Amino acid sequence: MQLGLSTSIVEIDRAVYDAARDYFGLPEPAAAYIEDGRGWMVRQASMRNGTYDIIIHDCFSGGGVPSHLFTMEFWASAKQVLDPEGIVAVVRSSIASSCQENDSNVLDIRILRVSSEIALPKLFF
Amino acid sequence: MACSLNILRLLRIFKTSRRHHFLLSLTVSVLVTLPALFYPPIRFQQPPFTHESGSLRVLSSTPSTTGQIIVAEDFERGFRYLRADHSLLGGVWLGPKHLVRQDGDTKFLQDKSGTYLGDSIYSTFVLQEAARLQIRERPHESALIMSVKTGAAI
Repeated sequence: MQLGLSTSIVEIDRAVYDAARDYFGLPEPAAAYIEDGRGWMVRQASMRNGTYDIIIHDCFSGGGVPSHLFTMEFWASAKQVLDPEGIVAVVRSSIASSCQENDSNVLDIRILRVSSEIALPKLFF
Repeated sequence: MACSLNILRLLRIFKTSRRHHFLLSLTVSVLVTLPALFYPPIRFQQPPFTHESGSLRVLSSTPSTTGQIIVAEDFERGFRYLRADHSLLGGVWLGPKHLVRQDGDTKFLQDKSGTYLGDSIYSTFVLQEAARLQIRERPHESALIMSVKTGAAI
């Protein structure tokens, strides 16, 4: 936003968004959606109203990453929302919480499979 | 001396009357409760407040969907941070020591009350901006941030 991009925000917690705006100088975004990322992404993918050049995926919950935001289905929806030449930045920690796949390698392999099979244009860690 | 005599006399009266016995117990309970209301051992403070150690200031504390969302400042190290329960979501450095290190022509961010904010305490948000280094024909125009934290990325 400070760099002149039209930036939209998806944030599950309204209090976090309010705190960022009031105490951390978050500028007014192009759009702010206060809801869980998966439902938003699936809906957005089905509506097909516009794409993003950059997606920054930085979702955490209690020290791990929420596994429902790292599924193949989620990435497939993300591809619909991403510009064909766009780029995704993914932050992943070593543990997927509330999920049997608590091995970082599983997530890595999954992301690799996504980038090759679903052919996300580019991935960046 | 007169006082203790009075108490003895009172006790004698109370011994004889059940009604007075009730009054005595009521008086004692009120006398114990009232000071406790005004001088509680643990006082719940509403933010913003400074911790009595002087090293911490809590700016806001809100119960929300992902936990207790807390904004506070650490005076010892000089930074403001955002927490969801135990999880440290992010923060920014504060104070002249950290604010002078930026380039001369950049403008500092300001919060709603006009406090100047420095760099992010987490370098990961800066790292995410490297997505902009992607070489492509059309320049980047739109971005989507999933999970905003302190809003330091992009």
